[in-house]
Amino acid sequence: MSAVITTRGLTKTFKSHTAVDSLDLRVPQGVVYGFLGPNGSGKSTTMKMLLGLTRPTRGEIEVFGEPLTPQSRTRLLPSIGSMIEAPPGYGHLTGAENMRIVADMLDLSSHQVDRALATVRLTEHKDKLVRNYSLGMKQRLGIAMALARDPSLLILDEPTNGLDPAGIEEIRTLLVQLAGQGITVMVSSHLLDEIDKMADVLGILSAGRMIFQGTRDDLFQHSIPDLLIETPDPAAALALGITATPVTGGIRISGTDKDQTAEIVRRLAVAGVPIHEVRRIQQSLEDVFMDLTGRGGLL
Amino acid sequence: MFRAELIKLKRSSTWLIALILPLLAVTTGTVNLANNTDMLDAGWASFTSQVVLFYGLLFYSMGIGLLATTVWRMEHRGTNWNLLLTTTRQPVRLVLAKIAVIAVPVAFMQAVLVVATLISGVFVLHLDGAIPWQFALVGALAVIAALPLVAIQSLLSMLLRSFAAPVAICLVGCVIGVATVTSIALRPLSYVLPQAINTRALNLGSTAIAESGGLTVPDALPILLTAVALATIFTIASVAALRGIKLR
Repeated sequence: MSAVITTRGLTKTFKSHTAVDSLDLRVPQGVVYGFLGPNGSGKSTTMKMLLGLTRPTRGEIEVFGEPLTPQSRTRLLPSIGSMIEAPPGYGHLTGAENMRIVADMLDLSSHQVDRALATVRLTEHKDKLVRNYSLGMKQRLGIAMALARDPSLLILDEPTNGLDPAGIEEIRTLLVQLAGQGITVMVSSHLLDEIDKMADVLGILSAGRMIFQGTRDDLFQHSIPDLLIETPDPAAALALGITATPVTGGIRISGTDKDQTAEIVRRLAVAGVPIHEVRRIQQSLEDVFMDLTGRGGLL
Repeated sequence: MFRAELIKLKRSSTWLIALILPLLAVTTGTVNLANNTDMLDAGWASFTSQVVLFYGLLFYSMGIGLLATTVWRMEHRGTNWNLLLTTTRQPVRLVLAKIAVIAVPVAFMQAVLVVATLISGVFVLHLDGAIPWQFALVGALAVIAALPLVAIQSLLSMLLRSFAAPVAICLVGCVIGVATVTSIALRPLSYVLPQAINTRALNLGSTAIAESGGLTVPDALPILLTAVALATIFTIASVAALRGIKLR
């Protein structure tokens, strides 16, 4: 799979702190790329750099195989739909008028506008003033403005923020459907379960650094689940000097690989500690994510 | 791009500003003339001079300051800057579109001024003599003369999120402008200060300000040429600011 976005050592330093630190992003073509991280981890700053809204302090960005420069940006922007931080929109205008502004800026046809409005199911509200829109309608308008240009790449920052569960599901379905049409979708969130169900590839950011990038399966392999040994005599097991936490009906051991597990079982058996069951604790993606981000700043 | 900017003017308060300020000028001019008929006895010449006196010194330039800040205000709301910068192909097109779209209500303001002056002269003051159509020409020339102020106020309003700050800066310029037009020593400055250029253009052929120049090519051309040159300089500065500050 060829990459639509590639960055090398992408760094953004503000006066007091480094918002994005040596990021090597790789967003493959035609996937939903879930860009995860706690609030303030540098997701928006990264996305702004990808759109040329903020200049990197260091590092390189390639979009559609072309280095991003002020010149190439002019050429690339019409094929990149985006929504950063919060949905934009002119409150004193109607949804349709907002769409006409985008259409005029990018030379889009009214057919493209109508289709984008229909895709986000906003057609019947298009003649209402945007200031009277609900948050969900504003989000949908923001997505319609990004979609109208028929982008090859969609960069959406927290598009489900503030939506109710039905609205979140709707956006999720839409993004998966768009990826199915070959559009590359990069979507950020600080909430794992929002992204979990739609992302093919995940990038996890913590304090400006990429702590994981790969598929969901890769992520599980990245972190070894705890080992649970069920025994009626946990005290005897602990007496052997095994570093473990006693839990109901047994002991729990973190960070053991296959060989270490075999060794522990052997020692317990030799010492005559009864073993009822040995298994890995089923991990949710949430656990893995929390593990990686160090349980900081997450909702 | 200009069409997109025109759509944004819908339901905006720019039209109200552009309507009220010239009406205010015509009203004060009318009242002034009606109360001082012994001194201001030159008919239409006295009347148009009274109308443009305060309008040229203050109302017109302040109106432009208000229009520019109103046009830019909507871009500072929420994340509209992101939308603007991800749909703008070239910074220069955005800068020119904004200048052009501010000039639209400015031209409307001038049309209101000219029409209201002529109506008031004929129907309220019942002035004798031929209707001074050249006043319409002064009104039109003043739109070109306003381009430097439009450009610099657009630049300030683009950079400053505050609604009031660019207007306050514009007011300072007006105060200095009064000094440059009335003092002989400071007069050269009136060619480069955008507010003073407005005053000079509007007072072409006026009898209210000494040495204001006539509505002739030798008097009008230097004003218009400096106006166009300054507007070009401010446009280039705006493009640089957009590149260097907004896309930093």
